[in-house]
Amino acid sequence: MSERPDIIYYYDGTLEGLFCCIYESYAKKEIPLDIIDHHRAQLQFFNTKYIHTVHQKSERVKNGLLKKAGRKVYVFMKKAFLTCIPQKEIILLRFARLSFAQGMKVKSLLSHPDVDVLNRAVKHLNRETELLLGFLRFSEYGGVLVSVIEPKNQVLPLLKPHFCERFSGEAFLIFDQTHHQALLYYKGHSKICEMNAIRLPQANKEEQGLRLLWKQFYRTIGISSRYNPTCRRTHMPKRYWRNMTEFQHFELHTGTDEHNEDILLICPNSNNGIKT
Amino acid sequence: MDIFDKLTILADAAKYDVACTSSGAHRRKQAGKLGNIMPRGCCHSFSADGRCISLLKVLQSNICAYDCCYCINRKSNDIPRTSFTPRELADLTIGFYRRNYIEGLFLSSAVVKNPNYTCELMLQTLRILRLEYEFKGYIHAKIIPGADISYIRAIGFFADRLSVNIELPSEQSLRLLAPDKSKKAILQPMEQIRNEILSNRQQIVEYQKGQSFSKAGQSTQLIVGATPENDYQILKLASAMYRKYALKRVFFSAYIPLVDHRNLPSLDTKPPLLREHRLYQADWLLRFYGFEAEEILDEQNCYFNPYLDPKSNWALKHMEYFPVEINKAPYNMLLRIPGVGITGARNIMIARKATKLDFTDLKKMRIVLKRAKYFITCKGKMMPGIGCDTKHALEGLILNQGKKSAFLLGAHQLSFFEPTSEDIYQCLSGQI
Repeated sequence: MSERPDIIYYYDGTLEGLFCCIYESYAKKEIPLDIIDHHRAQLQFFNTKYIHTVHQKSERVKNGLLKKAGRKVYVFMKKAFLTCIPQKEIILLRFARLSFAQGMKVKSLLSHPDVDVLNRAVKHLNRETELLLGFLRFSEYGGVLVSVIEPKNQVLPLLKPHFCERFSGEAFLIFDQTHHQALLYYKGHSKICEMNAIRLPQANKEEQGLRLLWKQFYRTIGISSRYNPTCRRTHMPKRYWRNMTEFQHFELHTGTDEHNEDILLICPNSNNGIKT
Repeated sequence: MDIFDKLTILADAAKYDVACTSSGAHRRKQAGKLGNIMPRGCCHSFSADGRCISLLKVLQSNICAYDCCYCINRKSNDIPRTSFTPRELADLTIGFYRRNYIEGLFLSSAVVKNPNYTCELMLQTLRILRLEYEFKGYIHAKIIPGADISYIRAIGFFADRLSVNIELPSEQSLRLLAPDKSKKAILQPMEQIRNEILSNRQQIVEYQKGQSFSKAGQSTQLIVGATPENDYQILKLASAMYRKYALKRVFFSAYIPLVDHRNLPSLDTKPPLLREHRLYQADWLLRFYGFEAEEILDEQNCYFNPYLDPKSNWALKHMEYFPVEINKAPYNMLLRIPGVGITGARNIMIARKATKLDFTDLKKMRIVLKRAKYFITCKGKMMPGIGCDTKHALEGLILNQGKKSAFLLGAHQLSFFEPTSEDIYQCLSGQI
């Protein structure tokens, strides 16, 4: 094996694609300088190589990982792939090599630099998911619950089981504005798809009434003699506030509820690799 | 009166109740029905005072027949009065729950006419929610002391957690401030709930089916600072209740003066937030760290140290156990090191199987070395320049806290000078 600081792998941005890069790295006995999603490719000084995603190769890496390092490590890698750390692909490649060398033990190497970085990234992902389970807010438009979030990590796959279980009888849509993805659910069927933007109609009377009630409840429940903004901010970072009903300002609309029945979705029907 | 005003009045009346947890139970979805419960609970928002909002916390009614002087809803207080009809409250809960505003309902009530009548009202709300709307989310119901056992039983089968508030930590204080309540009337429903839960669990195990009674157990709440009980008494009471009534939680509530009365602290008294904070710290030590109430405080030192958290305080008084070798010490000893928590201790147990740990490793594992360094050795050595003796540790722990502790600033204002080493020694022995 040799370090190859003069070559960069491009891949298609999926986990399968990354596994094929790992395969390539073993096949050519080299570690590339970086692995980059080809959608974000820029002009490079270095040699580049596009790694095609081949199902058999990625399966082989996956099965190898499962056999050598166990299910926990595999799930951990899957999660780490959803995080927002820079150069996660190359770190994951090194982590995969470490896993093949060390086996199960890799998860207990807590002070190893790569393991440490990934651990922290996954922790961040987990925490963001956990917070969003609570801070995500739905609005009802013609019987469909719609929510907009702006997470740093790709949390939709992790939010999916919770919300599909909790609102199993509802129809809902969660739009991830940062990654332009949406989670759709209707009658037991769920899907994560790509979606560029969402335009929401005006809320109807009932929806507006409930928003006002919630805002009023929020205002009332705080005890003024214990006012503690620092404590609130540490538990609920400000970047979540802009999508939360209790902090939003609404204009009371007085017109009729004509066009409330339809939601306009701009949704190219491509699947972006996350299997549903 | 419309629902908006009702919500304002009845949420305002309920906000002094502390408990707002939604943890401790687990309910999977039933296809097509609304709601489930996750065992670890979920916070949906945080109010301006930094407390978690998990449940829709309201009173069914604030038309109270009792006259407890610490309470804002007492009969003789001149405030607007109202009640939710069961239907209104159930609809509001569903509306909020569907929008993911809340995790469920926290239903309490003032005593309308008499305890049984009040329970009947609450029961109607729960019936609509559970039977008509088939709501599967979390419900925390407050038991009104003095209600019939049949009501407690009925409510317990609908609710996930029950609670009875002790409010005041001793019989004397109760007699003085809450003449309509007695210690017996409060402890009796607690005992009944405990027995119900026990027999219900047994039935479920025996017959492999049946509806569970108060899945997430029961909790209670104590007001701190309205009456003269000291911290040791309160902590002992809490630990006795964990043992005797198998409570899931004891909540502490710093008394906020709302009422001017000769038996109560004056209206300009600040809520004893530091005391409340220390009680919660000690509560955690009791529940998760294997401490006993008598280890944390005793007859001579019956108040918490304002400068130090209870664990550091204990460690400084028991330097004979330290330093602890990180690579060898058993789990329960790791837990006793200031700066090492449950997660930290677990991580150490995992990581030391793979390699021998050093201070840099600990730092990477987010162990709070700022506190821990006085009490540990790695591979047999202390951190360079640090000694393991009371004087070193004490000065390090107190003087190096910097601007971090807002509570400390409050404590500082009392003295004209910065605390000196002598002051610190005194505060360790509890003589301030």
